[in-house]
Amino acid sequence: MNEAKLTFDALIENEPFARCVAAAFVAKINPTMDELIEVKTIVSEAVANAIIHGYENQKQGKVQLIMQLEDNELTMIIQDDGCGIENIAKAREPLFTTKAHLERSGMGMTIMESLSDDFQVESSPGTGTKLTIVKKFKGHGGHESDN
Amino acid sequence: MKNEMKLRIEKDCLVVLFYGDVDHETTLAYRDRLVQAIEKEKYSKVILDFENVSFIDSSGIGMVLGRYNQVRRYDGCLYLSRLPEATRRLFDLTGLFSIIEVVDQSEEVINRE
Repeated sequence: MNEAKLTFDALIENEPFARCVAAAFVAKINPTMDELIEVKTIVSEAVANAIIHGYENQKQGKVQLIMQLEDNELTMIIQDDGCGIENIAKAREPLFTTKAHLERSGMGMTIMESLSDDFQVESSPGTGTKLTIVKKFKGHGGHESDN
Repeated sequence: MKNEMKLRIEKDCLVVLFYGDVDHETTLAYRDRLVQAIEKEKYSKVILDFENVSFIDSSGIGMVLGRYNQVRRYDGCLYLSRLPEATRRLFDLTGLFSIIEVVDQSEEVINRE
């Protein structure tokens, strides 16, 4: 297994940074372009949720991204120490958002769930949020050859 | 590709061209400018063109729905133009296409009577 851990400040400008790191991490197993875009989208949604909802855009706190790659399966753990989620089932409903005034679509969790093979949310008020997301790569598969 | 939003006026249409990433950071930067441009002239047609978008996430959906609601308030119409495949797939998850028309070229809408 290959593991990488990345901890960064809860600033929205770190969202593109995090998704590009994730894309670079899985590049060696030759994912298809669609799979790469899906990984980047999942990381973007997870990181944005941590910053905008977990830390309420306060520009303080840390977000951690842990990636574990085993064969063609990537496990991503994205966690924050923010305010947590009161009602996880409600938060997972399509179009549900607590921040409609910020033009949040309420689709972040639905998108993460539909693009991943497994999607788990652990959270409670005051204890932060931990997402565990599994993505299996069916595309080219295997490792790069020297040919 | 540089992240950018360009506004172009054609007849009674506002054409909005997005370049690069449409994510939580860039939509935040674009929103006020776009809201004000639409509010000032109340264009009867607003076309959002995604041809040069390399990455998009749910913030793009929020922005589209926000502008859809904005133009509807004065009986305007919103259109989506030249959607790359990844953008189309993301929008499709939301059911956006049941309320907003998608066109292959902005001219289809600009030249429509």
